[in-house]
Amino acid sequence: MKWKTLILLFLFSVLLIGCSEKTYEPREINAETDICKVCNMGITHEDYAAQLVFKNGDYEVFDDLGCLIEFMKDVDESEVGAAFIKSADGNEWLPVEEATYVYSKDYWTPMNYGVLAFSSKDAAEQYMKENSEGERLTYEQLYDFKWGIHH
Amino acid sequence: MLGKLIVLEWKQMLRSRWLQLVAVLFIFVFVSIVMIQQLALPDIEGFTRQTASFLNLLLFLLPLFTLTIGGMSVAGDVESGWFSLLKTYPMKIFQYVSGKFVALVGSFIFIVLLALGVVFLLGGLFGGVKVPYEFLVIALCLIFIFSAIAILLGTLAKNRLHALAISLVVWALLLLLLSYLVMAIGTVVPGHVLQKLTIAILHINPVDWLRFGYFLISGQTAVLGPTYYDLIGFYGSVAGKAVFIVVTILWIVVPLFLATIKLKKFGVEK
Amino acid sequence: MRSIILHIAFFAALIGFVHEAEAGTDFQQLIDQAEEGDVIHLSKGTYEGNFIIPKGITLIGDGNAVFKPKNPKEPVITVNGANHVTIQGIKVQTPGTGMVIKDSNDIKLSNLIMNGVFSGIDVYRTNGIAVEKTTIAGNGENLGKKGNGISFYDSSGITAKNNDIAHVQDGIYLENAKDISVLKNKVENGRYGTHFMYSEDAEVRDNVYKKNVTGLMIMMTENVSLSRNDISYQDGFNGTGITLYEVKNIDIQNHTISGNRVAISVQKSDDTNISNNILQMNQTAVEAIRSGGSQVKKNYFVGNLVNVRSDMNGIQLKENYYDDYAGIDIDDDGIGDEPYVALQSFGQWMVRKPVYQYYVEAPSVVLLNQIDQQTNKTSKQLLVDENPVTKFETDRGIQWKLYWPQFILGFILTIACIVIWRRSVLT
Repeated sequence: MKWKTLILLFLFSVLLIGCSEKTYEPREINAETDICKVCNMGITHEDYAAQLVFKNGDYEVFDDLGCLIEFMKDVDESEVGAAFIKSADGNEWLPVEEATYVYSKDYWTPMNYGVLAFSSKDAAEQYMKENSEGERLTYEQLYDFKWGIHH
Repeated sequence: MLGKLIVLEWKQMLRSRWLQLVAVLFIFVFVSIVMIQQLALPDIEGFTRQTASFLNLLLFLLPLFTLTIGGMSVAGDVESGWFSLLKTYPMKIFQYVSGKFVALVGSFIFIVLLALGVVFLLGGLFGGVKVPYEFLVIALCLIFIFSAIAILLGTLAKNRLHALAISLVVWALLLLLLSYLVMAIGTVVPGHVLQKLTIAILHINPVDWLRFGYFLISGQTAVLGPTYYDLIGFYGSVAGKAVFIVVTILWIVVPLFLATIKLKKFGVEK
Repeated sequence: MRSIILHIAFFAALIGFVHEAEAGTDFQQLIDQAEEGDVIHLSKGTYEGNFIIPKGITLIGDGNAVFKPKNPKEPVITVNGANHVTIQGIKVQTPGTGMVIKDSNDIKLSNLIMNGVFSGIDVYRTNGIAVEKTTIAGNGENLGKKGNGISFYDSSGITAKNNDIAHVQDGIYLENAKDISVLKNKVENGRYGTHFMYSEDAEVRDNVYKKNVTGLMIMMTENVSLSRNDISYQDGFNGTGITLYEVKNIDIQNHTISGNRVAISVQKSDDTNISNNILQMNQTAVEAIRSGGSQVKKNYFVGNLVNVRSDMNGIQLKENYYDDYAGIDIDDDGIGDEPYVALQSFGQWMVRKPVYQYYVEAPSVVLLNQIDQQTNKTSKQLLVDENPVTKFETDRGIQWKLYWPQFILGFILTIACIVIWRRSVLT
């Protein structure tokens, strides 16, 4: 009898873990072990990393925004809980729909796609002032963007 | 009294046809795996087919043999009335259990040593073979843990045949069925749930536990993959190592304790 | 001997002045005063500063000339917009970058030693650059805080030969580079041994890659011939011997790839040709993802835990040798009479969910694979080699060779056990 209750309790807790996650939080990147789901590169430059949370609580991490978009194109949208991109200053995870994007061939990213994310338009303007001028992109435009090298 | 009992049990164990058969079988498989793998495959370190098959040999055979032989031996004592006779002596039940345990462990260590002797003997003729010490540690742990479990199973059985049946079921459960169950569940649940489930099973299945122990001792934990990074990190720390030793000892002590209680409280089923 | 020196001096005199530089002198001034084509000999000592070489001169050290930066954030030596520069036989010590070559042509670097650097040599927009016999050891930081050993950006006519690189991020990094030879280098304990990004036309031969995260990482690159590299022990959490990602026309031939987590991983690449390699004792030999058109031909699979695993697209297997092939060859033509099926349920699961890796070669999985071997013979869709080769010439036969200590130990152990057994049983 005791065993049965124990097993039931265990299954119940598993179910709880499975169901309780309604809000999606970005997880921390582990530079030692995390590799990009798409291109397999290790995520040694965390400031450019991106990640996706599935509704079932699984995570996929990416080394560059371009890899995330590549992955999003093929994934079943109904399974996706949220997607995040690190802001260019490396301070915070931004939901991909809310970030401001700027592209310039002079910006370096791990895959050299050259698209950076910012928390606000001001932050983007500021960055462009300090570095070189870039082209503003909306989140929707990312899906038509030609990811590749632009030297 | 305990000493005499151990010697008596030890002699009985070595006289048993079943154990002699098992010893020959074990030595044969042990030697052939070492010879074929070690001499035919290139000498590469790490977790390779060679080390994997060596580890699997231990994981498959040692629990099978200890469980069946130990379980049947205890159940046989009860069945034949030997245990009832022993009870008329001024001897505590715990002494009986520990005597049984020591004799069982002793005979299996003996078999492993004999197998090792033959391997060295033959290996010495072919330029030497390597038997990494991690395997010996794991073999010892396997013998200790499964001898204890075997005695517990023996006390639960009604007769020798029943003991054999229980041992085989438990063996199949720990070696195969639990893993299949987890793998099957894994096809329907998300990855992070499967990962948690795997870690839980790892702690409640002594076979998985010692397999994990092998990776820990040999420093090949990376084989398990990045999803277990935190687990590996914990067991790599001093606290983790202490926990590992404690859990391993619990796996030996608890079954023996339960077996004693069973014999004391409920006597013998007839 | 003397005549040779005289000849060199004479030759040097023909093309320009030969200078002798000594430690403590204002070395930058010496460079500034030198004419195109001059040769500067560097004697033993320490040269401190961040030097800039804007013209075609030759620096020759005897191996004891040590360069240190004044400002460690700047490179110790920068070659900027120069043609025909040769630098050899010097040591560079800096926590930052050793050397930077920018917008130059025909640069030869050799016999350099760099220890504890963030990054060794960075090359930008340069035509004709050779780095040879150079030793680079990175700092002991985490991977994220390391630079590359030698990096080439937007450059062409590149040779990296006989270099020895360790503890850096990427041993040799190439980005948007063309016409590349990577020969006889050794890269250890780094992230990627050699890393190609957006590059083309390369030969990578006779290199040694050991204990990196990935030996050869080739991404979005065309026309690369890989041959005779020795790639072993990339066995960390994400270790791979060779990873290809979105590449075109890559040949992988005559390698020995041993003891890696994954020997060759092919992703999004449909015309890769993998042939005549020995893939031995890896946890997984070949992994293919979205690369159904790539071909694995005439390789030897020996002692791997999983030979081939893939997604639904599979990979083409032709005339390989598999040491776990169970079929027979009755007509003795060296080709097995029935196809080899590399498909394993477990291997496929591992591709989909990395969590399953916990069970790699666990007792239950071993049994599962045995069952697979029987049942998968009927499903001939994926990962099937119609003509498996059955013969594999090894030089490792079983040979008689007495090893006394072990033999005696075994003898004593065996005899002791038998005696104990007999005494226990008989008395």
